[in-house]
Amino acid sequence: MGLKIAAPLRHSWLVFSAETKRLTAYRAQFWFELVLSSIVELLIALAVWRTVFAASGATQIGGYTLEGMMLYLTVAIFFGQATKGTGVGTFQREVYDGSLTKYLIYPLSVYSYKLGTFMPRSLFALGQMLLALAGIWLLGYWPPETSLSFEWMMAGIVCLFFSCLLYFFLIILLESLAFWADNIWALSYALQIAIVFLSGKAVPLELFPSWVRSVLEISPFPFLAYFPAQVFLGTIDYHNFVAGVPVLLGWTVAAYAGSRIIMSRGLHRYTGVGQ
Amino acid sequence: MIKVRDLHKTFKVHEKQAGIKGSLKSLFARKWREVNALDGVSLTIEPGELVGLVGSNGAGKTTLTKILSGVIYPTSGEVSVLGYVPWERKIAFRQQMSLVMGQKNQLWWDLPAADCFLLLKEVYEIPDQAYNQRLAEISELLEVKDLLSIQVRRLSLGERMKMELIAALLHHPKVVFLDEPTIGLDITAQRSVRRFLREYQTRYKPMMILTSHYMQDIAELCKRVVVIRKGKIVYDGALANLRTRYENTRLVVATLKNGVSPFDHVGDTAVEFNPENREVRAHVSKHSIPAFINALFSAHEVDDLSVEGEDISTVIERVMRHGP
Repeated sequence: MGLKIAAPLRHSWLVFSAETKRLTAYRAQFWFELVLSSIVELLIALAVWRTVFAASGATQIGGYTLEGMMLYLTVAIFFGQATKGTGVGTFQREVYDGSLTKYLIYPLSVYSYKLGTFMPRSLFALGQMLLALAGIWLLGYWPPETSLSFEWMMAGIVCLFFSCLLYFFLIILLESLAFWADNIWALSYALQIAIVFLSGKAVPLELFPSWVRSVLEISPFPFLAYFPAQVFLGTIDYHNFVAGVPVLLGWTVAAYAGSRIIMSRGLHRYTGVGQ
Repeated sequence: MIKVRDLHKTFKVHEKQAGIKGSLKSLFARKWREVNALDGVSLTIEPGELVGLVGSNGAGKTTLTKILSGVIYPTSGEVSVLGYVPWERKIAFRQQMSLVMGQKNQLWWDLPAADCFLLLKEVYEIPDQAYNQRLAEISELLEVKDLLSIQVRRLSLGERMKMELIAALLHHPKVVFLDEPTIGLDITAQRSVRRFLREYQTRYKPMMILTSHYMQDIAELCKRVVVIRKGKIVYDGALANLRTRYENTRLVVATLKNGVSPFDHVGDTAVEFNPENREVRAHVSKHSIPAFINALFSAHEVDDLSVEGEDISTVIERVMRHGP
């Protein structure tokens, strides 16, 4: 039993290190994709909210001061990057062009392999977030009403780990439809857009109408950025944290089970044809 | 051992009418056609055999290879490879097999081959000493020892295929599926890959199933061939017997002693006569050769005579295209 669990973990670790080597193989691509794009995304979000605050003349929007919003967005954007891993489209492309074959012939599970390739970007994003937080503190933009605690930070990182798994299983679940429809790039793209808005990565969920929030709270979307970000910052109350964790775990398990079932059925239809 | 019994694989393919009208129509209603890629295939391959799997495009070779290696499921039929059902994809099965696809890159494109091999070493749990010894041996046989630290994408097609072969053989698999391993390679690289495969098979005796469109690969490497035509096996046996059974004609070349007037027939057989070197060439049906030679000797004084068997590639191609 121990061996059965250890082998997928070891394989994930091996693929993780190979993927890290791959990500750092091209210097320009590394800096543009993994560093510059995150910084640009963050700067755009901050500029937009600074303008919104200036135009409205309000000192607080949805309970956030400008500094509080900057801090939340910094964490939510990098957490969003972390949960996204390799992003959408990869799995459906592999089904479409037959490159999924290589995962089927090597003696490791597709999940171990894909998770191994998914996680390095998550770790890079986490590291970038810590640097960005240090920057905010050093530049004096840290909101006085927020103080980080080690316990909440650790709880946030654990939640983030499950958020990564949730995103990963959701992607596999959705993109397994390519076994039936061949090309579902548009659907993957639509999911990505939905995630940006509904996960709280672009706008905190407090700014959504209450009925939308009620619906979102039982959906998986807030658990992909908003929930782990709030936990990390310690801005979630204990009651909501205790209520949210089972929902996060439930969605993760459901997405895992759903993805296993649909992928197993899809593999019966796999032809391995393509370029 | 590989045992295949009454294997069928049917694909459903979408048929679209040409043109914009057909494209728009297909958005609402699609016409599907069933294609029998494999139609009742049965065969047995013994340990240590190197079998050539040949057939025209779309004959079902690659489909059979994919089913045997567990990549795709069959529609019906029974398959046992090394005692496993391939499409169950048990880890123990995958640890003992390899699939090399000449048209697909299975290594990590952006990493040097050495990094890919290190990853495979761990995946296949190859002990350090065995790994070092095998890598040195195979890379030397394939003459790519100096290229191991170069990114895979920067290698030539031939070099890349050699790296794919190393990756496929590092764990000493008991069964190796080679799907067109020489496709697109130049003559020198093809020869080098063939030489290596022969050498490796002799040394380690894995079961090898080789699919290739280059008849030279089959003729040089395989004692046994399986010819597939429209999803059915039309020949399964020794390569040498294939010639004996299906060779239609032989080439008779004769040099005449004296110059003679041009002629185009000997008896009833059409011939090519070259007055400059007095050479007569004729493709003569196997059974008519004695009669043809008698007729030739009766009509002319012959200085030299040879009878050549049909090229094995021609024989295989004929069986592939028209059946036995």
